[in-house]
Amino acid sequence: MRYEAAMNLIDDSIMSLPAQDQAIRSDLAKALRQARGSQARAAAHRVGEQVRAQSGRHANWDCRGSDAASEGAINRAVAVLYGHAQEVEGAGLPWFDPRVGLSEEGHVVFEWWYDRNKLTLYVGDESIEYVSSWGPDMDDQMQAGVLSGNLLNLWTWLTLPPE
Amino acid sequence: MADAASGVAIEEGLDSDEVLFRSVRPDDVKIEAAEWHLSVTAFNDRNRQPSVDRAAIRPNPADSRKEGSHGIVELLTGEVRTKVHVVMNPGAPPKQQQEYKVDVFARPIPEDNPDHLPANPAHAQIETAPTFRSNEHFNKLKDKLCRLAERRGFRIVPVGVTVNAP
Repeated sequence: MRYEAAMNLIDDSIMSLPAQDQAIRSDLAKALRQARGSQARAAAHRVGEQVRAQSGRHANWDCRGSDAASEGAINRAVAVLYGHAQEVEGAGLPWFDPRVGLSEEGHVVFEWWYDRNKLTLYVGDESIEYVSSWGPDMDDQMQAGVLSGNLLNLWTWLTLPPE
Repeated sequence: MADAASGVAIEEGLDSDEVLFRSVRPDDVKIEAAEWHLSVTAFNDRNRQPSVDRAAIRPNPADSRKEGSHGIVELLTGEVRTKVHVVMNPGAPPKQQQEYKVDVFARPIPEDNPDHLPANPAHAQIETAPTFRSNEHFNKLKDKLCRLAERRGFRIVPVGVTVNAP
């Protein structure tokens, strides 16, 4: 998050350059996009290792009867992560690492918090489910469902500056 | 209390002011930018009925830890109790929405139980009626429970976790 705050500061500085410095502004913006992309790829690699480490958990790993992760869920979660990092890079959006865990069904769980917003993904063998929430009211402050398509819309929502 | 139409007894949940304890692993806590967050994995439950202990019966939170490294978060029954509306048929009028009730019920575990669990007179469960049929709604419930627990804070911080005082 500290890295992203620095990136945002640079972004703001670029935008405040005088209009006649258009070429400089363009070069700096390109460099900033590359820096963000490189950070996203490195983070995907780092978090991918955390996902693979979940395969070392056996059934009942939490003493609450939860399943172990299947190989399919682990592989799919790693693929989702790398795909998402590329999307984030392409869109020039900020990246930050999720918390990685397992659900009771052995699905890989990714959780991202951003101010009051939270995005949770449950990656299983056959489907990816999500919960986006901005408060505890299950009717009015949460949306949930099966993820179809990419994550970019949810990510854009998640990282919106607070009103 | 009985159902007015059928006369069948309706089970009532705990009193709204009953405090509940949930044991959480150190790994269930994410520290980010000096803030802590509780992961939904803290409320994992194979039967979609997360267990809690009733503080009224087991007042020392340390006694509710499942392992020595675990912490304890607190919930309030009245905050957990809720009604959830699920659209069964998108586009249908609101009347056709299925209403789910979330409540907390005393489920003491006796000695010599068939599952060979340790006896626990304080045991209670967060249950829904009817039972959630899909992950989607239970996933939302776990999210809600995390937010409620974060708001009330730790009674015992898990071993190895450092959180700022509120």
